[in-house]
Amino acid sequence: MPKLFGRKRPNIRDAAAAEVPDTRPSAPRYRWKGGEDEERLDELSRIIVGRAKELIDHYQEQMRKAPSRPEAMAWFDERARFLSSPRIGEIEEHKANGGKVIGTMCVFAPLELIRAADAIPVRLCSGLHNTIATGEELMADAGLCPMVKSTLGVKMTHASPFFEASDAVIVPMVCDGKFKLGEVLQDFMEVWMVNVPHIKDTQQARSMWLDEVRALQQQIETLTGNRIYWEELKREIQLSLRAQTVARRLYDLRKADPPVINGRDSLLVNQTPHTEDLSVWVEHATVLAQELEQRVRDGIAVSDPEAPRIMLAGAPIMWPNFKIPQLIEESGGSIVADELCSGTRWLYDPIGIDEWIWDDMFQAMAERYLQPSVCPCFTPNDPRIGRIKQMIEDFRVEGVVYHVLRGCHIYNGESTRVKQSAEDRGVPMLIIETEYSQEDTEQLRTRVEAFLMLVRARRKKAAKAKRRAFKTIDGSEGGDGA
Amino acid sequence: MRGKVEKGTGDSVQDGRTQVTEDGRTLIRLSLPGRKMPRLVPRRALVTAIILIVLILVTAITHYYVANTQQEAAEEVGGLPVGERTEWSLSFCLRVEPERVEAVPGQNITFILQWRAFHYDCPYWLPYGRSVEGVIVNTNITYDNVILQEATEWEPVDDLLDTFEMQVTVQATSRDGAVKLFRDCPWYFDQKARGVVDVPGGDGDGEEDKTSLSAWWDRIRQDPLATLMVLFLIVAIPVSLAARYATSVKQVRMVSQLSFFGAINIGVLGFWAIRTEALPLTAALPSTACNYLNYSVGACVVYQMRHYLSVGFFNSWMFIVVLILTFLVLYVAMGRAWCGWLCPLGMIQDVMNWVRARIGLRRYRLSPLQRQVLNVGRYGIFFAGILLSILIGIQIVTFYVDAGDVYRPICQVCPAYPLFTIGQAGTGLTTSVGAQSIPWIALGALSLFLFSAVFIRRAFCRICPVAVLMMPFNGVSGISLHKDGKKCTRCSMCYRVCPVDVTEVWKEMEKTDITVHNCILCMRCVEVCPEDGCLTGRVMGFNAIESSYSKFIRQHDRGTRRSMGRHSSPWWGGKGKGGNGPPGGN
Ligand code: SF4
Ligand code: SF4
Ligand code: SF4
Ligand code: SF4
Ligand code: SF4
Repeated sequence: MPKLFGRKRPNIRDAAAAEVPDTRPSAPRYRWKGGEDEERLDELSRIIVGRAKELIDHYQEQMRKAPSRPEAMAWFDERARFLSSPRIGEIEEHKANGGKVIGTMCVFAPLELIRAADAIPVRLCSGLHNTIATGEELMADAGLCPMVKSTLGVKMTHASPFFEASDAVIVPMVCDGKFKLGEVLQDFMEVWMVNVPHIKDTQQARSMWLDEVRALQQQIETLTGNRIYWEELKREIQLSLRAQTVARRLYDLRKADPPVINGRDSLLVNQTPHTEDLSVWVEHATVLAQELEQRVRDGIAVSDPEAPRIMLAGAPIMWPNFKIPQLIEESGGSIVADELCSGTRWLYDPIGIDEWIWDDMFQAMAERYLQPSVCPCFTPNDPRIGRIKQMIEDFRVEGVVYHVLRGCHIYNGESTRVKQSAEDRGVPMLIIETEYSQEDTEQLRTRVEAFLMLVRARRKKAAKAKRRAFKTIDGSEGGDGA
Repeated sequence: MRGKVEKGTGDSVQDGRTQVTEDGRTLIRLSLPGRKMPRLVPRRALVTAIILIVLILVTAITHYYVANTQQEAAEEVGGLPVGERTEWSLSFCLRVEPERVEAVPGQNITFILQWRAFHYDCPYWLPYGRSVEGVIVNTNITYDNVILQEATEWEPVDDLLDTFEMQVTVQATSRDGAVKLFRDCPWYFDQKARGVVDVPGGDGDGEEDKTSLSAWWDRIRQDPLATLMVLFLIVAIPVSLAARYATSVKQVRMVSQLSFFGAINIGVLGFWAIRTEALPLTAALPSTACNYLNYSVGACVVYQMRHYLSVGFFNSWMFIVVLILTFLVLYVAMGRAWCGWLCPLGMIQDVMNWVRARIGLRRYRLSPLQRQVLNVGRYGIFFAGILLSILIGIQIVTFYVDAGDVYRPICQVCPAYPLFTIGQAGTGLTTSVGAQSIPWIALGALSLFLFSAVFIRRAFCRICPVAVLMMPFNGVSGISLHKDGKKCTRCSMCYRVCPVDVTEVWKEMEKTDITVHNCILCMRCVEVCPEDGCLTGRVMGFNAIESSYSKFIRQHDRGTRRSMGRHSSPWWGGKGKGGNGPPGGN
């Protein structure tokens, strides 16, 4: 039933009242080598793109080699070619028709609003490792998170077509890296900084966040020239809900023991919607989910049933920086769960609408990004540890690999507590602090293998203890045969 | 099948989990986590159930006892057996409004009688008793279609209390063919004459042969227990149907509220209670059965409380027992689920909220400070009402004040009073006595109530003094709200949908029983929580409703549901067929 005030947007006053910070791009104010030397820039760009393609091909090949890979992954593979994905053509066409593209970082940009204004949201956090050196020319902090420097480098060298297509980028003020990245990026493009309250469950944080999203709404509307109405917002929320539902279906499917999908594949599936058209993604993810459900019924697995069930936690792993998951699965582990903001967390939490009126929809949509988020930039962050514990239980995790990007203090600062609470549940945890570069691969491999051995040994011990317990109870051998 | 694990990838293949096919490949069978065993009945629930059963039995017995003594008393005094006479004499205090009427003895006078007949120890007589001193002898009084004839004379019956008694002979007709006097007065137990008058040509003139069916019907109508049963069925049948077919708890709750409203209003509309002597005994309900309504089923708890505080408990201990027992049954059994599922005032607020959402107006959310202030106001009204009642009781207030509204503590600020009495008068089916003496503060309260209920969810419930009586029972009663903090993602959806802004359900991570005093147990939060098994609503210790993603997504649009396929998880009891996949899917 159409609402009486459906076409009119009831919150015109709010959006107008929201104060928009002035963050228009300035003329380049700061100097770096490529900024002056066009030829060198072209050269650099070519090299970077070439290397990135090699890297992507390498990982895709590795992933294809894994046994019994789901057929439905083909589409995701094609789309994940990133620098030569067919999506680029679609975005260019959209732009040629006067559409806008809005870049986002982290998980806090209200994608529904962007889509409702007929713009395409793309997540720009970068996983390319050879742009870091370039990024360091403007952010020369050796101890800074590689993801931030890589993202900056991508923009400086024009390496990513998604970045180039973006008319503006939404940068949430979450950690020091993102915070300063937003400032530097203002030399290159329009940047919308968003204040994210770090204590999120107070009344004042809630209202501040709502105001921030309202300001974003106004910025989006100004940029695209499209007003966002009730119908559009509803349509987009429903699309998001569809996607979230499929994502949760896939999430639940990963609980299967033995796993029916590889951790890397799953990570890739969850990252594709960063740039894809969500409705298309939903269709393909549904096909994948159906295939996986069939597998559960048929009893087909992708890995050795005895492979240690590993959970990947910690700092985001952006495609194509798949060093860690690749290492784990190569060494015989099986990643059955991840807690990454670039993985399951991207689509896990749904938008719950109480009343289909503008205010509630808007609030639900905005709060969905803030409240359930367990990004460690929030405090207190016990819910994150609770969530990891719950996932350990739900996914029957036997070992946690905690990935820390060197220089990411918020993740590193929580690692000890996560480790302790995981170990309290009898699950060992390996903390890997690493950069994007491949140099430490072999060294990490040794550590990962040792860790997997530890997990196997623990399992044997536990199984023995269990069998003994069964014997004492009913005198028979315990076992969980189907 | 598409892909299979090659033999040999698992070097330590275990028995039972793998199976080798003819072509030499290994299939791995899955062992899926089974469902958890249902929990045994917790002790508290058993105790509650036993208390409940005992209370119901005692209440039922008392009800019978009271009904019988009452019938006897009525006959003793010359009260009239139901449905047989058209005239009888009775005694009551007469309140005459709007202006005092003085009449010469012997003179026939016709004036508007505010049909408000009070028993001698009614607290209202105090101001008005004096003003009608010595009037009306031999008078014809007509009111609407009721004619009072041959009023004799006023005389004080009790020196101490300075009360008056009036003997009149009443002849009554009414649109329904029957009229019941004194329904307005909660003191009707000791009323010397109660009864229903049959009018020649009316529907029952007492002469007709009772078929066995109508006798049976009459029997039920006069039996408090049977009436209770019928009331129960009127609510239970639609609710169980709704629980089976509705898609959300919200809808079930709405059905429950509406059918309960219907049940208690059957009397008001004159279909059920019109001849039922026993009916007024059946329940003492908070704010439902406003005592100012004609034919309401039950009696408002607030009214009883303050009334007896004012007039003492001497003649009516049995009623007090009934009241307390009913009160305990209701609250011990339900806690504030009463508010969420039955209370008509709550229902009206919910309906107005629903209308607002349909129109698309925004909702105003009270700030924590405002909520706190209102909550303090709730206690303020409650205790001020009690204090005032006691002051009336010990005749301190009467010494200084000579105005009627003061004698109705709490009722004078209760929006239910004008709302329901005007509503009753508005139906045109019966007259409503109460509507003629609405206190002006109550009118103000009503307009505030109507206005705020549009924009604020359950606005009145934040300040409702009845809840003071219920809040201690919340969490002790059989219905409770539980949370598994481990599963909570702190998405705050439960807080956003809560009609009374309970924050504990969102923020509490440690305790498992989160039934707080403010919670009206509407179970909306359970329904919207997207995490499987995070929130549970329990009835008598059994999980009546448990949060799950499939419940969550079912409330959103059909289009969203399509991606669901089966339930959110293939092995959690999902029996639905696979979703109609996207184009190109299998
Ligand atoms: S973990 Fe938090 S700060 Fe880091 S990229 Fe994810 S959302 Fe952003
Ligand atoms: S006015 Fe309110 S408090 Fe008084 S009897 Fe009626 S419902 Fe109860
Ligand atoms: S708080 Fe009062 S008005 Fe509200 S539902 Fe409960 S009893 Fe009814
Ligand atoms: S809705 Fe459920 S998951 Fe969300 S905060 Fe409430 S209890 Fe937690
Ligand atoms: S906490 Fe839950 S059950 Fe209680 S009133 Fe709020 S929504 Fe209803």
